[in-house]
Amino acid sequence: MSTRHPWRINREAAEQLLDGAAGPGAHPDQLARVLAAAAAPGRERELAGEAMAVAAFEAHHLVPVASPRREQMIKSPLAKLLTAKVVAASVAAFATGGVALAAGTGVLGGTGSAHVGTGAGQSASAGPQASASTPGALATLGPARLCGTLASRAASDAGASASSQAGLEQALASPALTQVLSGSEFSSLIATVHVSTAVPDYCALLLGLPKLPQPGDVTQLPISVLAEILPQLPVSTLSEVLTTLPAAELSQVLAGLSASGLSQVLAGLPAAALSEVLTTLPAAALSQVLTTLPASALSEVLTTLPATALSQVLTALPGSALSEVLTTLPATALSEVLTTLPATALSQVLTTLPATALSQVLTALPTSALSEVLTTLPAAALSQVLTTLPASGLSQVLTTLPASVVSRVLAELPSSVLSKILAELPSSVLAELPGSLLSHLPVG
Amino acid sequence: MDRRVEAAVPAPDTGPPGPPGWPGAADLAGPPDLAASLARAQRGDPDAFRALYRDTQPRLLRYLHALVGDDAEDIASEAWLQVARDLHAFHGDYDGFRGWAATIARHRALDHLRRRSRRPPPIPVPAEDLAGLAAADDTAARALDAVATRAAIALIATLPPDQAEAVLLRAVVGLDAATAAQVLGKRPGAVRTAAHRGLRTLARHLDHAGHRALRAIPSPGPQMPRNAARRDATEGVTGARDSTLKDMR
Repeated sequence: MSTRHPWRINREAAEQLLDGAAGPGAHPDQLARVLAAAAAPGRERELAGEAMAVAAFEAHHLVPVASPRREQMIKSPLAKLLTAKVVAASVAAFATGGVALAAGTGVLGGTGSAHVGTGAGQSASAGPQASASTPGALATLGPARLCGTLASRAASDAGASASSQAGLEQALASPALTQVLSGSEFSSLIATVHVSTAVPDYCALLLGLPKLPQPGDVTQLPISVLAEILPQLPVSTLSEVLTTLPAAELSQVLAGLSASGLSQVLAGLPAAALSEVLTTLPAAALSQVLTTLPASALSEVLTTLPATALSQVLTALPGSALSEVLTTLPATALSEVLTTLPATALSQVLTTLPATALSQVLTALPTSALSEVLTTLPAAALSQVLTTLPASGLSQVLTTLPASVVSRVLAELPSSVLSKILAELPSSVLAELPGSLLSHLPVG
Repeated sequence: MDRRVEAAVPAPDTGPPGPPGWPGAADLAGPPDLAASLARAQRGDPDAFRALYRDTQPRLLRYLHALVGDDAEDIASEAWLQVARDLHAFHGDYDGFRGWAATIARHRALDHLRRRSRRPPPIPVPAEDLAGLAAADDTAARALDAVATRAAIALIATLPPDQAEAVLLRAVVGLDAATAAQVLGKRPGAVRTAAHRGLRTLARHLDHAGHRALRAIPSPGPQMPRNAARRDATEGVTGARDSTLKDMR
């Protein structure tokens, strides 16, 4: 079975690999591992769109009867947002048939009136004439559906297409919007966001449009409104919003999120946006954000950051927050983080940690990462790190490392430091050290 | 909307029962019978639809990631809106459903790429991402797994597009060769050749990348269940699937 070149795979083996039927020891083993990792079970993060997909399904499949459970659900902020997504999708799907919208609005009307749904439908499809639907009915709609109505009316006034996301985006950015927005039925929208110029971006977010019509104006949105919307946004919009916000607003918005909301927001960002967001935050906000994240999200965030941003982030943290962050990370993520840091940042990070945290961090590292970390440190930082470690931590570190690495590490140290360190060690540990070092032992 | 898939979907297998549930679905009481879920979802049961989503979405997302990079989640959402809308009109078995969903997702992705009129910048080769990781460690296996999956998909995405798609549709989406061929609009033989070539290229890359990077990828752990027809497909050439295998000759 085994051949000289591991990439010579016969047809039968290839089919087994493709079907996931290759067991342990399959040939070639490396390839089997990669394919198994690619087909690993789904994770929570990958299911982030579940609620939205199910809401869309319900909109299309349930009979249009408002059950009590449904009315209750529709009041939650999440449900309002989901409604928005479905409305946006339905408005956008208009080109392919009005049935979708009718089905959607019938169910999602909540307070349950066929004619409310019809009103929105007509305005989306038939333009100015139909937009004379009763303000009374519109006033009872949630913000998302108001936005849908607003956008489709502005679209017909501006000659844009209400059947595509691009058309809705264009409508929200058009001068026609001001006129439409002045209608009394939209006053609750303005009241929610405090100022009419913030409405276009607010509506774009609620409707799930991929781009903001007036990105600068997103900063006018009240923090509470933003904090409610952010965890539901698609990644591209989320990146745009977060990287547009100035430091102060960004801090406040992120501070307004729950631990799970924060995980959802940050763990979904691509590396570039994540770097920009985290390096924009002032130290206090950064500490709060990183210490709020649960271990899994923290690992994902820190291992996503490229080396420069990672250095900037970790060296900005005060000692206490840094301790909490590094001791929260599981060993593999910790290894990746510490071995990613360049020498200067690594020095700063490790010499900032208080003794107990330092001990905890270094003893948590697997041997290979520990070796890499200690041999990367310049002599001065290494001296400080090793003399800061309590005796127990120091013993554990030195007995974990292979002898060759111990020699290399200790040889870096000035002899005064070396003597001090060796004096700390119990004789059992000393016995395991290379003999050449023992000449540095203080006499007696 | 593309319905070519349904026509070619092989008749439901009478052999092995529905695939077992994947371990991530801890809140599901037992292994969901996805074929039954499909039938119930088509009658309008939202919980059954949820089960379909949980099984299919991670597969689609990873496939899309190779096609459109960071926009994968948005494209997947669009695809699910269409699946949600048209599910009642779908005809076919569960493997056919996955193929149908993959076709929708693929068309959305291609539209998206046409709009952007270029392929995404290649995702960096994961070996560098992984270089700092030590061997799998039980306490941190979960965090590592996520990194490993991302890295594995990124590695497959470095293949030429036809090979990458063939490998992903087979090994990640869980389609058999015939259904994958329908999704790609090619002959099954061509898809099989592309997939085999892809595997050989991957094996060669992995061999050159050396062992260090690989240690980050743990030994094979749990995997998503494949299509119900998997056993037939792997036992190959004889047996119950003559109707589909005929096409490959």
